[in-house]
Amino acid sequence: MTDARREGLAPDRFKRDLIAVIPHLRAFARGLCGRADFADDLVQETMVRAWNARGRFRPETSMKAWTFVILRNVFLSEVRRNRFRGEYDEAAAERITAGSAGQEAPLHLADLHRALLALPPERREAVLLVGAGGFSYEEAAEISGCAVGTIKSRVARARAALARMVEGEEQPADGEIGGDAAGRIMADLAKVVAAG
Amino acid sequence: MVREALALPAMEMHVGQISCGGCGERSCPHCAGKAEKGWSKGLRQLYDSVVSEPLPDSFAELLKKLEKAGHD
Repeated sequence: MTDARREGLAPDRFKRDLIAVIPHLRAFARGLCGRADFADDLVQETMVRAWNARGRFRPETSMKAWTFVILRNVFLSEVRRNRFRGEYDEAAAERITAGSAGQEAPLHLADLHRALLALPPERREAVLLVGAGGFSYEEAAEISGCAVGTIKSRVARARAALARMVEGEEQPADGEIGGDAAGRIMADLAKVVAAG
Repeated sequence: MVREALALPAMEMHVGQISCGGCGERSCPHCAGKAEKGWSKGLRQLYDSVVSEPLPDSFAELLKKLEKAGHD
């Protein structure tokens, strides 16, 4: 017990908290690397590192944020090894959407995921953390090891690029997005949701 | 308005000061014209769809292995 206390969380508690964040780690990893198999490899490597470093986890902090930092490092080292350059697995993208309770918009999400993967990794990561993972700018900055202003700028650039890519050639050149585009996307979404 | 949208945290539920809560409706004065809403919502759906997937068995196996190694 004294060992466990000195080390942080007791092993059972650590394991429980780690299990609880696995789905989020998988979602973040899938968003980052685009391939379900690679993503799960990243998450498993993350779990091994987290487990081995569990003595350094401070119980009063967020397991999700802590493990995201590890996952991010695992991902970036793989990027540096060129493992993910230009990788995009259409079949895996279909599985993500087709396998997910079936009621969402597969085409839009696959397009969106492709656009996401076209972003530079640090922007992709920023928009995933803030736009999907539910982290605040401050938390995302801490996870990414950069200033809050840097994260805000990455998220803004990522959002602009995603809007441009998803909107495609129909977006006016001045970057002004009209209400019709928004209406069309929502209508398409509604159609697919209804069809599903 | 665009500036306002960019400054918002992406999780609309945290945005108390906007009465619509980022509804994305075309008729809404806050959300009209923001095509961003479509893919912004899509981004969360992409993420949430993976979160809600059942975990492959390999994760339970890995945990068992880690735990065993940890107790040795």
